[in-house]
Amino acid sequence: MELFTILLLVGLVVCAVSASLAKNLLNTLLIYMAFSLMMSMIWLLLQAPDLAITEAAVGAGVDTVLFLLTLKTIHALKGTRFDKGHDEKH
Amino acid sequence: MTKNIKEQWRRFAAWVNGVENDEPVVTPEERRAARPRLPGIMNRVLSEKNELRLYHAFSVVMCLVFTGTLLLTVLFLPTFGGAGNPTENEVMQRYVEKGIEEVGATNLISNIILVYRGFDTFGESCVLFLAATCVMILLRKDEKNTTEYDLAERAEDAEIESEENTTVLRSVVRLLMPVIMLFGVYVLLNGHLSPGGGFSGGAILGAGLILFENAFGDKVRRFMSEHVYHFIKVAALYFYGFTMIYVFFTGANGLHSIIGTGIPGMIFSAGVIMPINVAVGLEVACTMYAFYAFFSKGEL
Amino acid sequence: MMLARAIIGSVLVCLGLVVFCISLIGVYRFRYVLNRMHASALCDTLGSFLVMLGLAVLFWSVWVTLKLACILAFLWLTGPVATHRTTKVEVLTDEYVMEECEVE
Repeated sequence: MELFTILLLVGLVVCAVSASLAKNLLNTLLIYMAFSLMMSMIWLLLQAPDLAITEAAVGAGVDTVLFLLTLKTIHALKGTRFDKGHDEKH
Repeated sequence: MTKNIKEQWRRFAAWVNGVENDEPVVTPEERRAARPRLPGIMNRVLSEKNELRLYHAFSVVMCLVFTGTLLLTVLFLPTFGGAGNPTENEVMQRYVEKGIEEVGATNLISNIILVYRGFDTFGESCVLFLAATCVMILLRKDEKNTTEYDLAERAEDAEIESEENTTVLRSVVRLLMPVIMLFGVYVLLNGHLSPGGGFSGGAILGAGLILFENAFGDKVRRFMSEHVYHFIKVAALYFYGFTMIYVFFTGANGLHSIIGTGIPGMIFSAGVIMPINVAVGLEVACTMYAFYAFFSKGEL
Repeated sequence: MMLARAIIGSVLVCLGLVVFCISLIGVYRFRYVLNRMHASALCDTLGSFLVMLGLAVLFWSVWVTLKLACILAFLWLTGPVATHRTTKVEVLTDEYVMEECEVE
């Protein structure tokens, strides 16, 4: 169990660093989602199941949806239908 | 200096009044030339490219210093759950030993966050309410602020939506929706007996509503109109607020409730915790759904 | 009996993990979205099934098996639907989908 916790913590650090270094915003979003999932597992190991439920539902589920919708609204999803809005608008 | 401030104020007022393109057109080259350089001797020593490099190096160093400081602080933290920690004092002892007896919930965390520290959680609920209101102010779309571009995009969305066949999604959602909602209500109502409570249960309910909206858009919009949303949100917050006022007037520790503590472990026990959990859960669920609706469509 | 159960359960869980690894390789190796969806979706269902089966053998109790069956039912219901929706969106919105594959 100790080893599992250490693995999760290392994964957390890797996720945090790569989320800030990723060039594509969508990739950052997905890495952030993985970060939330790992965080919820760590909450469970720290005997805080309340927080684990909330983190899994909010951090991994709803937050990702909201961020995706934001990226869609500001036309920042590269290579999709919503990206072409830029040249039409300006 | 005064002229500069006046100029800035004029531009701010123009911006408030909705005047666009007030700034004179500046080409990127002009802007680069007008950019303030480093003062004194540094200006002559460094070329522009090296100056940029200096900024980059400086930001990396700052980042490293901050990370190092935080990690150094972590080294001096007491061990997790250790016996001699500063948090191990009479407050925690009281919560653990007398919590079930005084409040009546077997989940000690909900004892603490909803009764002993009820005001903090009330503040959190208010923050959520404020966030939902701000999102509404910023993202709401009606006739006045909908441009032709938005309309075209919405028409394109509707066209794509009409093309696709949602039979698969609908049948699966029909199967899963009761289970998800039941789980949410279970977490909500058992907040004083098992892990969970208002925030978690509300988040599950809200996520379920979002899924339901994706499959059966019209049916959700029929019962989740703006009136219903406002009513639930404000009623839940008022209920919570009045409970907190009552708690405040009966000694500010939440230990005297009309309902009574009941038998610990039963579903109807622990005084005001279950009603507050239901109120918080409803508010969180509504807020989640409203966030989704405003971000995706600009209306409920 | 005990030892045989432990061995069979561990082998099943490890097989599930191998399937997950294969799906991960597929997601990285393929270039086009639909191929990637195919790799991830196929191995997701099989991998979770193997892992759940292995855990059920390891614990060998009726209630744990029922709970695992519920989790598996949830995963098998939601996973393919999510894949189907994503694929549908890709087919409907990508103008150059014809160049990659045949669409009816």
